[in-house]
Amino acid sequence: MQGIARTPAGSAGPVRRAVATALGLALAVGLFSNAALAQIQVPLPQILAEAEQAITSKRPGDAAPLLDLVLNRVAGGEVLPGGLTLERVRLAAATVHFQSADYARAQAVAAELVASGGPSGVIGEGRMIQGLALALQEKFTEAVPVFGALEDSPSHRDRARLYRALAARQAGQTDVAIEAYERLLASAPRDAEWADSALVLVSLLLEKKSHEQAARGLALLQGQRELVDNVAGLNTLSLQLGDALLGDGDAEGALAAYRQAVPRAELQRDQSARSARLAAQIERARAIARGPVAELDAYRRLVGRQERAQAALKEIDGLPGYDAALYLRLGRAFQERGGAWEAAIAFGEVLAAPGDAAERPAAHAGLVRAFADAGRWAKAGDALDRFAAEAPGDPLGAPALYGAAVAAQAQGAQSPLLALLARADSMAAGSDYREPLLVLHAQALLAAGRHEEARVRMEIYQKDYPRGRFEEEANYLHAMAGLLLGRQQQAVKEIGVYLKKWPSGRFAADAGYRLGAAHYAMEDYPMAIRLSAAWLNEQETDHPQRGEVLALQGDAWAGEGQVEKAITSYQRALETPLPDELLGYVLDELTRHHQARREFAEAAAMWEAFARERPDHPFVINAAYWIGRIRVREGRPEEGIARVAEIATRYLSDPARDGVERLLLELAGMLARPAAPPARGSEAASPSTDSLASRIEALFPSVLSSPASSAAQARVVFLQAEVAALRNATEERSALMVRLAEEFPREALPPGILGRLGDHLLAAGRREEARACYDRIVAAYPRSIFADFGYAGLGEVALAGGRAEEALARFGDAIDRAGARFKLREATLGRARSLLVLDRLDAAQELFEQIAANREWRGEATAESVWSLGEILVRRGGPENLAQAQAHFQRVYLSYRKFTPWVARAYLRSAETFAELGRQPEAVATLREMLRDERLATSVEAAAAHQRLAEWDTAATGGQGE
Amino acid sequence: MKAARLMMLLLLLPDGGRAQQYHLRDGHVLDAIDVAVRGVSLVEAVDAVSADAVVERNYPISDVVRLDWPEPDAFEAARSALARGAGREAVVMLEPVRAEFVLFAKLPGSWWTAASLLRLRGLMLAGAADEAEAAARELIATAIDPEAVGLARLGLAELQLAAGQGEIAAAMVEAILKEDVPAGVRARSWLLRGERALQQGDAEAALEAFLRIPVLHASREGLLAPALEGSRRAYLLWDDPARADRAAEELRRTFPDSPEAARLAARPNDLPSPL
Repeated sequence: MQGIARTPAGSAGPVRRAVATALGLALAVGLFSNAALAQIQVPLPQILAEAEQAITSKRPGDAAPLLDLVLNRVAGGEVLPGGLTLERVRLAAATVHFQSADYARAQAVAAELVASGGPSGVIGEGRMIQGLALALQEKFTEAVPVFGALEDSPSHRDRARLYRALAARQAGQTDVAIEAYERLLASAPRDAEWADSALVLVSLLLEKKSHEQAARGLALLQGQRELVDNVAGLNTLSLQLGDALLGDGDAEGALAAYRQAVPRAELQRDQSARSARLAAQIERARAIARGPVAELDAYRRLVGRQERAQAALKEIDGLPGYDAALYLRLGRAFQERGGAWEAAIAFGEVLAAPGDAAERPAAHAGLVRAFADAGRWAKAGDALDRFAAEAPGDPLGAPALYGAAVAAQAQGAQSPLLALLARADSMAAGSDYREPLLVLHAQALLAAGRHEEARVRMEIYQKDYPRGRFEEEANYLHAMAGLLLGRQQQAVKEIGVYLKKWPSGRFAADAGYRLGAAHYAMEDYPMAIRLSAAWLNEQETDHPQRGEVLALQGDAWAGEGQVEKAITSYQRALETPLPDELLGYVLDELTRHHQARREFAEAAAMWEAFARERPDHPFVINAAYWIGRIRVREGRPEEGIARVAEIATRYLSDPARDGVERLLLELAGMLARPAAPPARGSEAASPSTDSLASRIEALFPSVLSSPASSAAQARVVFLQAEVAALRNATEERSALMVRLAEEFPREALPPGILGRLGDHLLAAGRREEARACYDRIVAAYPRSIFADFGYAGLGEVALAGGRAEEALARFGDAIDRAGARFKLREATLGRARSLLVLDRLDAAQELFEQIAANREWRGEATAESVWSLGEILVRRGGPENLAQAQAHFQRVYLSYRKFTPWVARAYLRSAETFAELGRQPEAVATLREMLRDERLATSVEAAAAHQRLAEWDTAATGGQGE
Repeated sequence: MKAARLMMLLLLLPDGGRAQQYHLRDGHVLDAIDVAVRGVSLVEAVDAVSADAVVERNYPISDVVRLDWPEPDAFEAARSALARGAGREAVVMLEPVRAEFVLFAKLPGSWWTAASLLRLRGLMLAGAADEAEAAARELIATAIDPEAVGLARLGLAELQLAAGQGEIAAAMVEAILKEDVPAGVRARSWLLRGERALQQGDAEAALEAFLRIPVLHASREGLLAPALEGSRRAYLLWDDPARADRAAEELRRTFPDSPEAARLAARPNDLPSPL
């Protein structure tokens, strides 16, 4: 740094410099009277040199009076040394007064400087000192315009904006401060000062309740977190802003704000590192704190930042549930934004922490709701149970249950809804939510076909809430439950009561229809016809139930034996918008009546018209199916086959059109059937394999003649394989399935083929290839009717790989997510097997009992289930259970002899159980009986039986041999 | 007197550019420009005796305790190459940096670890599995920064996953998650766990893993795009196309220049392979 006067550098030792300074000061201001001063006039250059010396030595207090002296003498008419202007001396004087903390004098000198004009750079510095000096005297209102004027100076612009903002804030001029900060943030370099200013701006905007602007301010800091020294302060502001935005309904904004906050441990680490960095900066700034005015202030502001950061951290440290509150806020914001999955993670984080934070009940409730919104029903149920266990009777329990139930109802998740509502009696007792939950429960029970229970629920409602909010609904549901229970007469009475009390009620139109349906059910067809006619007259022509009533009318006319009128009603029903289920019913009824009247042409024409008019409707596949069947009935199978193939061809290339496989299966049946006998008495000729293959290829010329899609080609091979299967040509079918596996990429195969191919490969022991098929189904066609092939297959693969938990989940998916249209038995059996492997005996037993009792599944699944029930009893142990197990094993080898693997296992287990019960002769007899069955001779169980017999024999003879 | 000099008092000293310095155990600081690395020493030319002879002072490298060095220019170019998917190109750029700092690999302020991590990413992008594995093992053995070691371990797990060794990868990730690892490593572990779950067709587990990033690690912006993309695929697997679309939209809107957004744009209807 250079001085104002030339002195021999380094020539003056400390003592000499001190003496010189003292002398200079004495000369200038202290020891001499004015008179003496007049006589002994120290030359201005010398005073300036002394001042410079003082400045260089960082003694601004010494320099200040010397420079004031110079200014006084210049004011008295003396002339400054050449090259030195008055403005520069004033600037130096203002600076040293400021450095000496004589802000009033600094301000006065700076004001003179600014008033006198001069070079813009000097004036700018003067204004800076003037503004800062005013601010330090807490004359903020006066400082604001001074800094405002300084903004015009390019070299001072950013600092001027900063100081103007600071001063305006202190002066209570919030709008001015905000405007200054916004301008500063737009132009200033992005450093720690900038980040600090952004924080202050956000805080000001929050004070002003300008939440949207505050959010924009906070957004500026996204990606600039490294610059922020006061991260604790940033955290606090983020939470405040998030709360404010969430209160405004701006969940997205709230989320953005909350995401700027971090958990306590991370914050403490982060703040410590930044505080250390800040401390180093403060130390450096202290070293130059006697330098330029702006640096002095920078030092002060660094210290201020450190203090604010420490205060914010202290505040956060003082909040015991800080992390829980943060995650709870995040959860709520995600939930409001529709992020149920994310919300569950945030709420889960609150609950995963040890301790009894006050936020836990709210987190439990939030978690239940989040799981429900995401359709994760098992987890929603578990979360409710955990909530009830941890905080029984908590007031948030009932609303949480109600919210989850409403979500389940909205998503059409019937079973989960019922499972949730099973908790209503315990969780909602005494709560205001009990009333709507009762109605919800009745609705769900009704939809599930549990009519009696629904009726009971509504009777409870009517008793407990005779003038309740849902009185009309309760009455109506009560009557409907009775109707569905087959108590038509009672229902007619109850519906009549309902219609009398609420003639224009919410359910009046439906009640009128149901009344007709009740009479139809009582076989009072004339009344059903009258009531439906009355309904059709009274209700609007575009009433959504019109088609339903016309279909009822058709049924009633058919009941009366007036098929022609029935057909007319059904045909009128077809002209109304019908839900698919009813559309299918009406089409099928029309087909049935036409066929009964041998009106094959009419039936075929109806389906032809449907296929033509609604070419993209999923029922076009049904149309092809019926056209094929009708043509066969007409004795024109070739025509039927050709037409079915023609319709199927439209969709062959689209792997996502999964109904095609159903059509191909029908076509396979038609093709595999022997041709009509050529003459009475002779046998039908069975077509040769080659002729069938040629015929199939001829049915789909486009697949062969042009570059067809892989899906289309694969479907033709699939059809050939199905025909082979129907002809019991096992090897041929197997070869065709291998072709499918080896010649077509998985991506090209439709889900219906992937499922069957997966099963074929799994049965052949090609587990990984099978898994690839199943993976493809669940990844690419999760909504296909064949999706259950994928989930159930993955379950089988997981179970075979020893991953029972995973298998359980996949089998569950096959049922709960894919609807198990084709694989309900396999999936149920798979779940039961997985549970058995996992040793969850009660749950496994329940499922095996269901399977064993299902008549439609009678067969190997029954044998396995009975054996497994025995196995469960063995695992439970104890003489009684072992005796019961014995009965199960015996039932297997006596009643299910066809299923040799289970017979073998049953014999072995039966013998072992006898042995465990101490009934050795029966055990031996059982094994000997088993070994007499030649079918079991090569089984592993037979080998085990030989070994057991040998062991028991050895034991019986005391190891002496026979 | 030179009056203009008075004004100098009021001028701010501009910040100089960051030096390249070696800090020695005894507090001595050497400017890199004044010394050369020769063998295991830093050699400073003290005086020139003649045109051919100089007096030199040697400082053992073992006396260096810290480096104060700006980020090497190669890093920005390498990151850009990685973002473009040009893994091998990035590797080539980073080799000189690694060579320059290899003697100081374990010292604070050394750029060896950062360069090696970027190189590892480059090798993985380039599909050079064997080289990548060696690079990861070198990092694990050499780096002292727990975050770098954790990331290298995750790199090994990622390689296993890519090689179809999902079980091994899962075990490695689980082991990392059980430890008290830095938050950045933990966050990346969740990403890998999500990929593994996707491979297994377990959409729920995948979502629980991927979505931890936006919920619990939102400040790690570099991980948000892969987390969003992972969650998009998992939502599809969960049969929730609406949420999948929303994730895709957020990815496009928030991270339009990310590799994940580019991959999505290229194959909007496909379920991309996990890695």
